[in-house]
Amino acid sequence: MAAGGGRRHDASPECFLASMGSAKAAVEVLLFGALRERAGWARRSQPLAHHPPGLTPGALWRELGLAGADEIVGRDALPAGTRVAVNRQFASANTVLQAGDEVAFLPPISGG
Amino acid sequence: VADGDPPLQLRLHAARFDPLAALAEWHRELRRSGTAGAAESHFIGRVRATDQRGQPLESLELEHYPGMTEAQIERLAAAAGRRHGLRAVRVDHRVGRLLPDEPIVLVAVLADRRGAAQRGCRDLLEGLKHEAPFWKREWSRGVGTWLNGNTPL
Repeated sequence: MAAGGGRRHDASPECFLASMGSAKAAVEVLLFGALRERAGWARRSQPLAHHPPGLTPGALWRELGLAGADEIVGRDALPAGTRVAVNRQFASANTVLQAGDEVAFLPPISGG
Repeated sequence: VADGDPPLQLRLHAARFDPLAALAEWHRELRRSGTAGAAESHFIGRVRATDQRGQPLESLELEHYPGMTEAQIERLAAAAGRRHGLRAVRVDHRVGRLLPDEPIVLVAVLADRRGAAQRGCRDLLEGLKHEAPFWKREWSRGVGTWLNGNTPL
């Protein structure tokens, strides 16, 4: 009884942390509007292990080949009007991404 | 978004909505919660009949970022509320495919004075236009064109 209870008590947080650990070794990348259509995908899980430490949205932009044909290749800067959101808040393209972050590239906004 | 911010009623509609019915629902909620103010300002935006080049528009598609849209409108309403001393805010916004003349947006604010109400309504609408994650695509003759920003004020 005590051992079983102890096992449950010990095991479940470990399983939980292990599953969180693998899920969080990546960032979730989202594209919208014209960017989504140009890239041909809307959402992708990008393993952090594929990138050097200190990954930023600007670096992801370049490494995922998201730049348009008329953009200067090899820069981390986003084109004018394109914005970044990290975890559903506007953020700088220089933000260092953490495991589990949701990063979105937003083409020029037209609401209202 | 903090405790003192004005209460926000937010509705994102995937199908046509009636702005006057939305206002009536908001008024019922204001009465229920005992929220009073002498000045109200409303804005209703509808789909234009022509596209950016002046050609007849067949339909307008509105994409958004579920989750961020709601969070961002809450932040914009809270900021406008603090700046103008608003007492309550209502926002309705369409997503999906819209036909010409259909309502896209309703912004309604309650304040104590007309200046605060009108400025608060305008600020919040401009926030929705430029700072909320919505994207419009105009469809004309079967061809879709993403808009690269907003029409002038």
